[in-house]
Amino acid sequence: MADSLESIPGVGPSTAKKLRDGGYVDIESLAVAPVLELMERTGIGFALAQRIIMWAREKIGWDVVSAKELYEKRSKMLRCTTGCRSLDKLLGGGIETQSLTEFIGPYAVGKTQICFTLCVTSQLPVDKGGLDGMVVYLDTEGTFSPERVHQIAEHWGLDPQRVLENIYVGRVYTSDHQMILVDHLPEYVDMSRVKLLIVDSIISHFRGEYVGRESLASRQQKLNRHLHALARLAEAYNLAVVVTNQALADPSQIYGNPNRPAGGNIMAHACTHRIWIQKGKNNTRIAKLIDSPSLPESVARFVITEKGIEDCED
Amino acid sequence: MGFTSALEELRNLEETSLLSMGCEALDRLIGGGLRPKAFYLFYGNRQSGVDELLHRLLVLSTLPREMGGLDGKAVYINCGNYRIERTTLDFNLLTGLSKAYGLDPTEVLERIHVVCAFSPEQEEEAALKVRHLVEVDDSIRLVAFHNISRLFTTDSRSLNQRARITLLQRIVFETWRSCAERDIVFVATCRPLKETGSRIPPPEGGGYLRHMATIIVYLKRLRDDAYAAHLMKHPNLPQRKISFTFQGGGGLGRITGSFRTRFQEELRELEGSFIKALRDPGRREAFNRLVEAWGSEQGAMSYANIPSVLDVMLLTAVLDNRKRIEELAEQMSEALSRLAAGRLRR
Repeated sequence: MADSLESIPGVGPSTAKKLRDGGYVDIESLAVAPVLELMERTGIGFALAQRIIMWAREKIGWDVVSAKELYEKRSKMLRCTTGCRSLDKLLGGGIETQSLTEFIGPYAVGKTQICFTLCVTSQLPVDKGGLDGMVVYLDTEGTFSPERVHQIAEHWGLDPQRVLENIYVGRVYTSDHQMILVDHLPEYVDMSRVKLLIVDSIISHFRGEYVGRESLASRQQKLNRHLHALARLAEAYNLAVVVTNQALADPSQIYGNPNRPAGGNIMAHACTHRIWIQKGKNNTRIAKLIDSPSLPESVARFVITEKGIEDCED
Repeated sequence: MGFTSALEELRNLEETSLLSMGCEALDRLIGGGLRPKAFYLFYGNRQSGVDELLHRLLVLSTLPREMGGLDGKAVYINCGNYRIERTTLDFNLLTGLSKAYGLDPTEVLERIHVVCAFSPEQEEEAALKVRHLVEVDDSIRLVAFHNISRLFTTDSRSLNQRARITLLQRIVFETWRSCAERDIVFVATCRPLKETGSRIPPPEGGGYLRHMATIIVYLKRLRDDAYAAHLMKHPNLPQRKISFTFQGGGGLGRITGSFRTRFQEELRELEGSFIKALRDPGRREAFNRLVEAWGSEQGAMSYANIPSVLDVMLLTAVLDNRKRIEELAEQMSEALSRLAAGRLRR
């Protein structure tokens, strides 16, 4: 970033250091930070925190904007192909940057396979439907498989070594670790080159650590904070954020689909596009768009192949 | 704590040694063997080979690396009580397998920590004990949960089964974390849900268990010693099915062949070497009678429960054989003398 933290009025070297230690390394990350979080993580006072954030927002031009300006900002939005035409169509042309896309489904349904394919397709040049950027992959279930990504990259005709080099993998063992990595992401990686952030799966640690009704409220609060941190990253750095979510069996549901997405309303409100995946006939997979602000509900079918995910041959 | 590039991950993977399951076909099914840090869920009914596989893994994990093992210790967690399901650690099988791999059984047994849980609450405690064990002993390379979900799925007293299943969630998560943070293979077995027609039933124990398992394999018995394994979930391999047999040290931990097969081999050999003499119908009949007598004695002996009875039977067998041989010899000499008399008359 061109502007360093020291250029903020009222911020000397020591405050700048505090900010950096708290995970705010550039103006963008400050512009999207809530005041309370900034105070909590850096230990600076309320007035200063508020001033810094206001300054950063003005600097980036995020004050009150006209809808036209907002539209222009949205037009910077990029789309990344999933490698499967029908799924792209369902998503209105591919995975969007500046928003959260969520894939939900039971086990062994292909959620992780979609993520692997996106790891490769996002590195394609922009004119071929990619984002031409690097990928950050937060692996919470120990399923990230470099061999599989290698295989998919080969089938796309890319140099597998380069593709793998451009993926930052973070293996995460607790929900706190997961949140810290996201909060401090700009310290670990060069955010200007990253175009895709994958969290596979977002919910597993929260489900494993916060067990029982009594801890539900605190779990949901933490999850909410985490989701908003992801949303802010997407907004600030023009990132595509993809998360996977587990399906939860609801025994009280007698008719219809007994499964529903884990994470409750917090999850439902935070994600821009929600796609439910289930198994279909002949080893195909069915993707349903169940929630989106701009796209109609529709259905796509795909198969898992050596190339990642592909259209069904009908 | 931070990030590594996927290329580095790939290089690390190429260097890690995998735990063999002692069966090439099975190893190939899951991509070469069990990988440290990953969570393997094997499920199937009783007799499906799941329990035997778990025992094999316990022994194999103590083998030296060049033999496909991990040269380490193992933690075995037994989850079951008598009323729900008798989940047992089979020492016969363990010692038999150790011998088959040329290991000293007592040494192998010494390398296996055993933790028992007879109720869901105890199982939760067991998970904490496992955490403690792997923190203290860094030579542990395998954590094996025998029947991880049974205590949670079949207790009829439980009014709120859902609350119980969430308890299992924590156990799975804590154990997974203990293993994933170190280079430990995490294996669990469980039973399938009730069969629904021809489709393969999913493992019991709730959605979280299925989501957390890196690799899921369903086992089923086909015939006497032939089993089928279905790969249900794998991050880089498609779902498929193979059939396999356990080799070496199988069954009840016997390393020599059974007496019965040995006996039958012996008989065949005997018959082969006297094939010419046995063309004669009389001799053939005599031989058949002998075989029958031996066979019934052998049968009686294998069904006898008391060793002293066995001894008596053995003695009887020897005496009886003697008597029959004498009878045969008598018949022979009679036939010979008749022949000689016939020649003289001529």
